Amino acid sequence: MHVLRVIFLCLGMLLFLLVGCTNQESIQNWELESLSLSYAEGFSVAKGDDFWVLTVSQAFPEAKESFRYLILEEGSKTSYAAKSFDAVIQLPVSEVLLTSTTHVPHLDYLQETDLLVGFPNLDLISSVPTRARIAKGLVKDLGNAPSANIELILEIAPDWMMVSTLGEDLSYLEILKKGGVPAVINGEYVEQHPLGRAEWIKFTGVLLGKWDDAVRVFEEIEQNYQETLALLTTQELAKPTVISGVMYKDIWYMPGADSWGARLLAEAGGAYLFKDQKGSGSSQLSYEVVLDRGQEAAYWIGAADFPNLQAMGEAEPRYRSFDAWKKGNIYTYTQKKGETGGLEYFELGYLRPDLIVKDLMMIFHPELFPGDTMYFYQKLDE
Amino acid sequence: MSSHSRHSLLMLGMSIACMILFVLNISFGSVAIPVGEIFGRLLGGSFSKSSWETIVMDYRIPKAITALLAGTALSIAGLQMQTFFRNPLAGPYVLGISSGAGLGVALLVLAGSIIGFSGYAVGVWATIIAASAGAVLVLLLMSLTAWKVRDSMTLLIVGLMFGSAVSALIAVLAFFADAEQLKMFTIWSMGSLGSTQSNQLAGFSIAIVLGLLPVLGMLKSYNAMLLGENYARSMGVNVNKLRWAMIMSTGVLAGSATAFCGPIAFIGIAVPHMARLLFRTSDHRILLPASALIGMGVLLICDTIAQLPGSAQTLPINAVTSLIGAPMVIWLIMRRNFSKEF
Repeated sequence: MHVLRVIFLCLGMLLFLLVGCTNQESIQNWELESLSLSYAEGFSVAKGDDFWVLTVSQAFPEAKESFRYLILEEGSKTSYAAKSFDAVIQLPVSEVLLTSTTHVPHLDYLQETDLLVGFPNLDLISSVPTRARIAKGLVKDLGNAPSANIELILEIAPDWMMVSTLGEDLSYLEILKKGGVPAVINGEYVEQHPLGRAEWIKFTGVLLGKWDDAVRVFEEIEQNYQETLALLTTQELAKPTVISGVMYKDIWYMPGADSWGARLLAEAGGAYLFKDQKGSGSSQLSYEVVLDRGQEAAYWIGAADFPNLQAMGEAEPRYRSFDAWKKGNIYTYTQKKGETGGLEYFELGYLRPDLIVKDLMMIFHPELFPGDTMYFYQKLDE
Repeated sequence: MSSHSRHSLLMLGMSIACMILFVLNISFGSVAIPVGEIFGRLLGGSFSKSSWETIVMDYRIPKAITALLAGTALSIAGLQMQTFFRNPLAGPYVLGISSGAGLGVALLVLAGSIIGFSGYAVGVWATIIAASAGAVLVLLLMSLTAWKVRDSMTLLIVGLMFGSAVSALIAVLAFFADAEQLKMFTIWSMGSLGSTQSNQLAGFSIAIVLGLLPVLGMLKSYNAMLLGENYARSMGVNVNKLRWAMIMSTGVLAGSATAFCGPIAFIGIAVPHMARLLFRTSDHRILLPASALIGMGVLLICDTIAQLPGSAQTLPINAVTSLIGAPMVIWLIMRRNFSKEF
C-alpha cells in the first residue's frame, strides 16, 4: 500500500514537471519586450513580434493568482499554447461587452465607442456617445442582475468581454471559456493611486490594438494632473481640514487613509482628519468619534446624494452639529448626471483623476482658479 | 380505485410531469432557442448556431440537473425532519444546517482577509468546501446535543437556537465586511442553480446518494415515529439509531444542496406537505419518492419562472421559491386539522 502511494506520488510529480516545462518552453521561446507602466501595479504588458501578453496580477484585492491573456495582432503567425492563457484574443475586434461603467470612457477616449454591443443595466451609462448608440438600439441590455446574463453573452459571442470581479460571478468564467468568449478581468478598482486607475486605459488599449493611442490619452491625463497639482507649490497655502463620508443608522462610513478617495483629498492639499484610519476600503466609525474630531472641520466632501443642506439636516439632525454643515461647506460629486440618472463621477472619475483633483483644489483654494467652474463636484445649496 | 393503484398512477404522472418540466426548463431562457432544435440536439443532431450548443449543453442542462438534485435533497431532508420532530414547520433551516453552511461561506468570503485568504479569489470548490464544513460543524454540535438530549422537541428548539446564533455571527461578519465582499456574499445568499458546472454534478450526485443511504433502510421506523417516540420504541424501533440516521442524512443532503446552490428556502418545508396532500398518506415508502419528485418539479418550475423567459433579467431563485413557498405554508397553517396530521 505504502509503496503504491509513493509510486503514484512520483508519477504525479513527473507529470506536473512535464506540464510545467512544456508551458515554460513555449513562452521562453518568445521574445518579449516588457513595457513599463508608471503607476498601475495590478497589470503588466509585454509585447512580442506580432502579439501582446497582458498579465493581471491584482484582479481583486489580495489576489494570489494571476490571469494571463494573449492578444494576437491581425495576421499574427505566432503559434502558441492557448492552454497556458486564460483567454486568447484575435485583433481586430468588432464587438465587445463591458460590465462596469468605469470601462465605458475607455472606449470613448480611444474612439471605439461603436464596438460596444452589450452592457448590464444600460440606464447606468452616462457617456453621451454611448447613450446615442443605446438610443439607436445598438447596445443590448444584459439584465440588471448582480451578474450579466450568461445566455445573452454566449448568444452575442463578442470578440472579448471585460469583467470586474466586483459583483461578477467568477464561476461563470469557465462557461464563457467553453463557449469561446474571451473574458478579461479588469482590476482597476484595486489600484489606490488615482493615476494608477487611469492607467488601466492602456490595458484596454492593448485589447483594442490601440496601445499608442492609449499611451497618448494617459499621458495627457497625467500631465493635466501633475500641472494642476503643481499650482499648490506656487504659493504658501494652508491645508484646510476635511471630513468625508456619510452616516447610516449609527455608523459613519469614512474612507480609509489608503483609499483612492482619501488619497485624492490629500493630493489636492486637504488635511484629512481621519488619516489614521488605515485601510483601502471604508472605515466604520461611531458618530461620537467623528463629531469629536471632525466638528470643526472646514470642509465635508462627498456626502450622500442630498439635494440641499436643509434636506440633509432633516434626514439626520445630528449632521447639523458640524461646522461644515452650519457654514454650508458641504460638497457632493453629483453635479453631472447622465440622461438616465447615472452619476458621471462614478463612470468617468477613474479615468479622469485630473478633473477630480482640480475640483477638490478649487474647493480648498478657490483663489487658484479664478472664474473656473467645477466638473464633478458642487456645493450643497441652503 | 385502490389506494395502491392510485399511488402508482400518481407517481407515474409525477414522473412524466417532471420530464416535461425538465424539457420546458431547458427550452426557455433569455435567448429564444426553438424547441425543435433542442430536441434535434438531444437526439444526436447539432444546433444551427454554435452559441446555442454552449447555452443548452453547458449552462441550461447542468442548471436543470442541479434543480433535480437540489429539489430531491431539500425535500427529503425536510420530510425526515418533519416526521422525526413531529413538527409541521421543521425543515433544513431549523436544525441550523443551512445557516451553518452560510457561516462557512461567510467566513470564506467576508472574513477571508483576516485569516490571510482572499475572499475575492474564492473558486467554486472553495465555496463548496466552506459550506459543507459549516454544515458539518453545526451537524456535529447537533449530534452532541442529540446524545445528551433525548427529547426531539428539545432538540428542535436547540436547533433553532443554533440557527439564530449562527445567523448572528454572519450578521457580525457582514457588518464589518467591505462593500465588495458584502456584495459577493449577498449574491451567494440569494441562491443560484446556474453556477454548478457539469464537472461538479458528479460530486453533487454522490453527496445526495450518500445522504439518502441512512434513510432508505429506515422508512418503516419513520412511519412508527409519527405516533410518538414511545410508541415507536414499543414497536421495536431503535429511536437512537433513527435519530443519528436522520441527523446524518439531513446534514449531508441539506449541506450539499446549500453548498452547491446557496441557501434555497421553503422547498424543504413546503414540498413534504404537498406530497402528503397529494398522496393522502403518511406512509414514508410513498412519501419519500413523492417528495423527491415534487421537489424536482417545483424547483424546475421556480427556475423557469426565475429565468423570466425572453427577458434579459433573471430573478434570484431564493426569491421565487419563497414567493411560492410562503403562501403555501400559510395556507397549510390556516387549515383546520393541520397539526393533527403529526
